[in-house]
Order: sequence, then structure tokens, then C-alpha cells
Amino acid sequence: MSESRVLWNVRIPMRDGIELANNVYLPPTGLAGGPYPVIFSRNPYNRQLWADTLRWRFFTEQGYAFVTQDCRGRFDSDGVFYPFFDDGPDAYDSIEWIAEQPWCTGKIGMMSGSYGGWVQWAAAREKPPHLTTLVSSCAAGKWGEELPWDRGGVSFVMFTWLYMMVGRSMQPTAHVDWARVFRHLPLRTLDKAMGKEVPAWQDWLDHPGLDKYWTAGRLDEDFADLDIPALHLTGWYDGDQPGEMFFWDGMLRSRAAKSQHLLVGPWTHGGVFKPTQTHRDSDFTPKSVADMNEVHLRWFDYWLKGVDNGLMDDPPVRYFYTGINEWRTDVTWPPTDRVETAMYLHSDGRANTALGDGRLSTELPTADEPSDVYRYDPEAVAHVMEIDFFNGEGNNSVRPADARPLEMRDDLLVYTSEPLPQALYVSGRPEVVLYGSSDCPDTDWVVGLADVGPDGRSVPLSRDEDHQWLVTQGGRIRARFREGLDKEVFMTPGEVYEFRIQLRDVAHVFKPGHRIRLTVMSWDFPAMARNLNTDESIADGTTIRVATNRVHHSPAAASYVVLPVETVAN
Amino acid sequence: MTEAGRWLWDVRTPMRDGVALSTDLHLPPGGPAGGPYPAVLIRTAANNQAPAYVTRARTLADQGFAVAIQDVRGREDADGVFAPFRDEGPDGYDSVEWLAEQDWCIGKVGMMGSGYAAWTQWAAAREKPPHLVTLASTSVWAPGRQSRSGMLSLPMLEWLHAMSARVWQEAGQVEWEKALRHLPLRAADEAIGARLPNWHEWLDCNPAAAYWQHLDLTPEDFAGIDVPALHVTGWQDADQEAVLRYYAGMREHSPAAADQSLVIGSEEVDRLHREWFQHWLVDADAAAAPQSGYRVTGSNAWRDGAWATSAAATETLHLHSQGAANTLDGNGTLSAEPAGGEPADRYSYDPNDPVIVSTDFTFFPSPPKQPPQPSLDRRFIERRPDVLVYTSAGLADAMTLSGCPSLQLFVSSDRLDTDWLAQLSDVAPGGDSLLLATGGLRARHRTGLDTETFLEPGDVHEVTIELSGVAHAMQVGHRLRLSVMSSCFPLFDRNLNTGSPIGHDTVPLVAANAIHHDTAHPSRLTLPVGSSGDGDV
Repeated sequence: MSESRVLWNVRIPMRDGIELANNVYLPPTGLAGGPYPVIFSRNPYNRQLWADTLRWRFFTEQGYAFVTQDCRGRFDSDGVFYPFFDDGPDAYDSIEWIAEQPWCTGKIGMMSGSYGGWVQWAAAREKPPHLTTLVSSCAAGKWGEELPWDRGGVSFVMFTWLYMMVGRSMQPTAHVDWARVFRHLPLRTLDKAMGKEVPAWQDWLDHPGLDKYWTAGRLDEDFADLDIPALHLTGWYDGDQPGEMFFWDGMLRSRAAKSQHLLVGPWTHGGVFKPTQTHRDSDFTPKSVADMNEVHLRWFDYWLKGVDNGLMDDPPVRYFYTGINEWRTDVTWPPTDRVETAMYLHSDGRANTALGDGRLSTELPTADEPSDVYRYDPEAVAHVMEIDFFNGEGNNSVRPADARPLEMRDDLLVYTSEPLPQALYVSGRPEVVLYGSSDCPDTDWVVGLADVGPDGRSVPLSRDEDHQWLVTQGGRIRARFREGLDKEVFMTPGEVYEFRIQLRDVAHVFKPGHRIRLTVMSWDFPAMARNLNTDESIADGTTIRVATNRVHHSPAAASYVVLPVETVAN
Repeated sequence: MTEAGRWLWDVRTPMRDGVALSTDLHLPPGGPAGGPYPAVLIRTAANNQAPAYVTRARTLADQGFAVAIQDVRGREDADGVFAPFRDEGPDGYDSVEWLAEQDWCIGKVGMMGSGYAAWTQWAAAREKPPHLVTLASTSVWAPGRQSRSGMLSLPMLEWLHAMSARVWQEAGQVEWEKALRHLPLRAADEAIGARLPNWHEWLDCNPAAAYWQHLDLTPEDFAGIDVPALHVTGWQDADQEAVLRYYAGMREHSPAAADQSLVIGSEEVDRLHREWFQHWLVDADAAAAPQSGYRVTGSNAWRDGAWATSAAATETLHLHSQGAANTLDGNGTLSAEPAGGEPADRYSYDPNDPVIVSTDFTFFPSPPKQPPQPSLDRRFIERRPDVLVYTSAGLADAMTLSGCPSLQLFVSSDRLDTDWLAQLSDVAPGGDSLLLATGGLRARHRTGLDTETFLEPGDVHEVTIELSGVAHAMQVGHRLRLSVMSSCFPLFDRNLNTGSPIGHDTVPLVAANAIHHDTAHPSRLTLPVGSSGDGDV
């Protein structure tokens, strides 16, 4: 029997004969000291070095066996990697194999995040008998409305990710001339331009909406029948926040609704794994830095070891209010007692840039307010470049949070409230209802919220690191999908349409003297592919049109943002 | 240019048996349509996207070469199963010919790379691919590096672990000191927590030349390799012996004997490669090929011409002491006079407390981390009581050593088998003891690697230890120092002094070892002396 605490490259056979590679990390008492409850993490990013794996010493010293697995076709696992859709059966087979090992008690919890969060939900759907609980961090999985497509926009962040995954091991992004690749048209041959044909890219391009290719992988219809406790972890600046919230919302409809907890901090995607005190140059104070080892341990001790640690007496929801840097608890999310407060868009017809006359107020617009107009030129935004999405180690701390350099562009509209007389607590799920028109059959609408301080500094409420310098990210929609992601309906030039745009969840306090700002634009390149403003196929279109886009704020077409406001006794 | 850029990833490269290897292409600015170009091929077991490779490839690509970096069979993105050293000949041949056929290639292919990626060049060259034009081979790993003079290389156990699956296995999660000390040694892989069949195979065959001989290059092989080659090594390169042997093999047997360059200790390897490929792949008239040369340590002078293992002259220094040469504070000396009636020097070699020559036991950290660099000041070894130290008087005249020193020792042990290791150093007036050369011998293999001749306990045996090469300028007032010991852990496995087959024992024996230096036993060091006074000092 091995004396080592690490068992290398343990092969687990799948139902189709393919073998997946695992490392098994054992407590100091080794194989002889078992059996142990098992924490299982599977990911496509190298089972030996991924963020979870680096926690193996902590968890094994707490009496858990820790198993990390390379997904099919990745690193030392056999087979061919295909994004997202092989993970359910593979996870099932792996969990049941582990449960049979003499060193396993038969209780298995999963942990990990991002792709490693998705695989947990793919596993849960298969209902492996020995899967006992999940700790899901920033999981992807709201296909079509998150990634790689977000309501009609295809993510170049995810194209870069596909590049990283074209071999068995990670392909370093620094080796590609992304500036050339991202300008390439049509999108159909973007993979060739990058230097490698990628079948998944072709499949993605063939399914820009929400058709069977994606819905087959979504759990919408599965939640009601799931019965597994789960701890959900995400952050206000986490690009996969919509995914994790999708699973949170869904599990509240499940048979295990009472065994779901949610923790949301002021964290980026990476910050959910390892929280940092700052995001860009915003400082959320040391108390924002949760000890993720302890968070996991408390959950696993209760569900895998049966330790009576009072976990189920904890409030199910814990979130961090930015602006005042305080933790809050609640019984659910989004909070049910918020006052839906509409802030209407106003201007004298010149809302372009932060120096324009765009205003936000609770007043309805009057009849004489002219619409705002901007010219969206896909060629012009293609010269705005911040590339190499996955090579940004440390960028989090060096980039300023201030969005004013962006807000000085003429191709976006800026609406700002008066300074607030008293603090405004906004927590929940804001939505923008935009009345827009265009002289083109298609265009994008991209909106975001920001907090403007007395000094003029404009800090977006939601902006993940993938969007880097450029975008005040909140939500987006492609005009042709305004009637639903299952059908493409082009605009009649000049006609005014209603666009409902769900924003990312927020919990933010606008302090007295601060102002609320909403920006509207038609691009978020290079994070997302440009809308070329034509009725051509998204995948194969090469024609570029300049769009003249209008935002309306009249009594008949009153654009507004709805803020969920907490009533707080001052 | 078409839609394809200059960088093409994971281009599947078919081998004759249908297995596809993975080749990344780094092309000149004109991309595929701007060719054809001469090609440079790197075949590596260590990941063809390692930044060091890519940086070097792109520098060459900017200068007009199509650079192909390939994962060898079974590694990273290549299909098939990796077997160390085994498949690189046919795979190299097929890869060279595949490259030569590409539209953007002029049909001339050079190969480059170091370590295992140097071995892949020689394995390919042996197969005589018609379009292989030249090699640039640095620190070649020859089959057989797994053992030296009968001692097993323990870093190679770490390499086997790193290579034990398709991608590099993370070294930082292994307790290497524990694993390398594990007994029996053949179960060291279990101590790691891995299964390493090659380790068992290597132990079982060690050091039987037959296992390696069918892989390593023979005089007949060199005779069939008709390509110019750049041979690069350094004075502290663990693979220096193989580089020198391959260079000598090509000089003696290859039809291209005149076009071999041996470069030792150069700090301009990138420039050498560029000029080498410019000459042999682009235009022989426009650019001169780099010629042989070497760095002389001590003076830091650069010498043109091929360094030679044998010297024009030798000088012999005899070992002396009053029977207590242990440690650098002992009474061991070196001088030209033969020994008279002198007592032997004795020490106790305990395999449980071996001479440890490296503070870091992780020799193959995951890239891009660098392996540990040994300290060149050897006093940390010379202070041990189980190390015999013989030091000359300060030199009255400067002296240049150039060649391979040789050690003739009269030894005895109370055991059937033990190891003898030697190191030569230059002791500066301040006391620094700078390593120049090393060598070693497993007693049972003293008459040859293919035979086992055990010691007669208590008898005095004469053994020869060849040291590695030097080109060193000894300054006036410096002293030469020879240190002798019986272990060099973790570079080599510990001899357990039992005489049993290597790798099976679990209980080591302590050996009482001795070096004899008297009239009947003239233990001595033979130094290759260069033409001193010619400007090196």
C-alpha cells in the first residue's frame, strides 16, 4: 500500500470506456486511515494546479480525501473535449466510482467554480446516488443569456477561452495577435484567422439564439426535481454571476429549496475563488475578504460529516453592500420587500457623453422632450482595443474604476440623476426598459449603472474583469432577439421598439450627494463581437453599416430603469 | 495573406503508423502565402507552447525561418503513448519530411533544441530524412544518462514522474527527499504515489549497456549522418560527456566531419543558432557558420578552436596525508612528489547520512520554474568528516588546465561494494573552493559497466575515475583541491554497501572506506595542462 498522501493519475473509466485522470489527495493518516468523506473537483484546467487543487492540504488536514479530475479530453484524461455537454455522465460515473473506493465513506461533495461550477450542476442533473452536496462558485450555465452568447452577442472572451482549450493543455493567450483576429470578418472564419479550426466555434455560431442546442444543456426543467443541498458563491463583479444566480433561482424551486445558501461579495470571477480587498482601485475593506476555506469547510462538515455546527441556523443569504462596505443577511434573494423605483430618462436631445444633458429622475418625461441620437460605427469601435482577456494577472488592482474616459465618447448616451439628498439602498435585480429606434434592421443595446461621487468619479456597479477598461456592464440585448431568443425579428428602420434589459444583480448604497448614472451604447467590443447593424447572418455577415440609433423619452415611449430600493430608517 | 495568420496551432502531423503529433507553426511575417521559407524543427517532450520555446521561435521567424515546435508522441497535444527515447527516430523522420512538403517550405529543414529535444535531433538524423540539412544540438540527453559509471541518476526518477502522464506532473506536490530516500529504491514510485514502470525497467537493466546501446548512437550511425551539426555544452553541464562523445563520433565517422562545431560555455547561444541556420539553410556564402570555441573559466577568455579532452601535456599530483585527510581542515595535500610511507585515510560512509550536494530536491519543477543550480563553492561538502580533502600548495606560476583530469586511486573497503566520487576545485586565497570537475565510480563496475566485480573486503584495489572536462586558468596563489567521498545525494542513488542487486535492499550497511597513498599505492591525479602563458592569465 502506498505511503504517499498523493495518488497520481488515478484512472477512472467512463461508461464508454474512456478513462479520466484524477489525483487523490489523502489526509495525513493515508490510505490506512480511511475511509474519508470526499471532496471532488473536476475542471478542464489541469487537475494538478487549478485553484481548488491548491487547497488540498487544507481539506485533507481536515479529514477529507480530495479528488481532482481532468475533464474528458483535457490534460491527462483521454477522449476529446467538447465544451459543456459531456460533463453530466462523466461526473456521474466518476462520483459512483469514487464512492466504491475503500478510502471513501460514500459521502461525496463537489466544489469548484466557473466551468468547475457548471460541471456540478451537470452532475446533479444526473442524480448520482452518492453525490451529497455542492459548493458552486460562479458557475456558468445560463446558456444563451450569459455565455458564450449573451442575448444575441457572442463573447470574444469565450472565443479566447476556446483558443486556450484547443489543445489538451492550456494554450497561452499571449501568443496570439488578438487585435487582428478580433477585427476579422466573418465570424465564421475567426478560428482560422486565430490559427486553428475549432468545431465548437462553428457549433456556437450555428446557434446564436436559445434553441435546442442550448436548451438541452439548461436545467430550467430539471430544478423542480432536484434534491441536493448547495452553497452558491458569486460576486458583484463576477462575469458568471448570471449563471450562479440562475442556479440559485432554480434551486429555490427544487425539493431542496430549504437547503440552499447564497454568499455574494464584492468580488470578481477570480475573487470568488480567492477574495481580494480591492476591485480596481475601489477598496472594500478587510471585512470583505471572506475566508473561503472556512466557508467551504463549514458547509462540508455539516453535509458530509454530519457535524452539528449550526449551519442550518445561519441566514440563507449573506451579501455585501458596496458603497457602505457592510455585510447583510436575508432569508432570500432577491429581497422581497424592496420598493421598485423607476428612474426615467430625460434630456434636451443631447445626452451624448458625461458632459451632455441627459438626466435621470422619478418624474415621467414630458411631451416636448426630444429623443437622443448617436452614431454607432462598428469600424470605429474596433480601434478601441484592450485584448488578451486571460493574461490579466494583477490587472484587477491597477486599473482605475473610473469610467469617465469611456463616458466622453460621443457614441454613447449618459443619464445622470441629481445628487441624492439621502442615502439610497439599492439591492436586487434592476431592469432597464428602453424605447429605441435605429435606421438599421439590427443593432445592440448595451446599458449599465454607475455611482457618480461628488468629485465626478463614475464607478460602474457591475463590471467584470473580462470587460476591462471599456464597458459599464449591466445588461445587453441584440435588437433582432427582442421578442425572444427563439426568433430573429428585424427592426423596421425608424420604428420605436421596447427593449427590456435585465441587469446584473447589485447591492449598492448611493451615499448622500452621490448621483445615479445610466449609460446606453451599442457595443461592448472587444469583450463581445460587434453588431454589424445588418440583417445578415451573425456568423457569415461581412457587410458593415453605420447605425444611427435613438433613445426615446416621451410620455408614449418613456425609457426608464427600475431600481429595487430598500427602505432604511435614517 | 489569406485569413490565416502567422501562427498556426496544433497542426496535426501524421506519422507512418497513423498517430498524429501536434505541431505549432511560427511563420515569418508573410504568413503561409509569403513563403517558401527554410524550416527549423524543435521536437520536445516538455510542451511546445512553453514561453521559452515560443520566444526563441518567433525571433527566428522574424528573421525568415518557419519554425515548427512539435509535441513528441504521447506528450501534451500529440496522440500516442510516450516511451522515453524509443520512437523519436521514425517520428523525427516523418516530421522532417512532412515539414519539407509544405507549400511554404523550401524543402530545407534544420533541427534545434536542448536536452531531450537534442536527442530527438540525433534520433531523426540516424534515420537519414532526405530533407534534414543540419542540427543544432545543445546538452544532448543520450540514452544511458539514467546511470553514470554504474550509479543511478535520481533526478531521472523525478523526470519519469514528470513525464508519467500526458502533461507535466506537478513536482511541487511530492515530498522528494522522502521519495528519493525510500527503500527499497525500486519502490520509490510508490512513495511518490505513482506507477512508473520505466523506473523498474531502468533499475533492472542498470547499467547494462545492452538496454541503452540499441538506442544510443554507434560509430556506424555517425558514419551515416551526413549533416553539419552545432554541438553546444557547458563546463557544469550534466550532459557534457554525451555532447563530447557525439561530437567526437561525428568528427571520426561522419562524412560531414569537417562541418561540426563544438561550442562550450558560450553565452550567445541565440546568436549562434541564428548564424548557424543562416549559413546552412539560407546562404552559405553570405553568412559564415559559427566555428568551434570555448570559454576558459578563471580568466573568462574565449578560445577559438575545438576543445579537446586530451591535453598536450599532463602533470601528476600525488595524494598525501598523515592519515587524517578528512575535511578541509585535515592534513591531506597534493604534490608532485610520489608518496612514501604514509598511513591511509579512512572514513565511514553511512548511506543513512549521505553527502548531500543540493539543498533543493526538486529537479524538474513544473515549467517555467527553473531547476536548482548547485552551489559552485564546495566547502559545504568539504567540511564533512566522510569527505577526504587533498589540497596543493599555492601555485607559484599560473597554469591552464584543458582537458579531462583523471584520478588513479588505491582504495579499500570492508564491504563488497561501495561508491567513490571525486571533485576537483580551485581554492582561491580567500578560501572559496570553486568546483571544476567531477567524476565517480560504483566499485562493482570498476572493470566495466557490463560486469560486476565485487570488492574483496580489506583488499586494496586500484581504480580509475575519469573526471569531466575543464578549461580553466589557475591563477598564481590559487590551490588545487581534490575531494573524495562515497556518496553524492540526491544526484545519484546511495550505494547501500551490501553488494545486492541495486534497488532491492531495505537495510543499508555502513562502509569503512579508505584511500591508500604510499610507495606501493601511488594514488594520484593526472591533470591535462594547456599551453600556459599564452594570454589566458
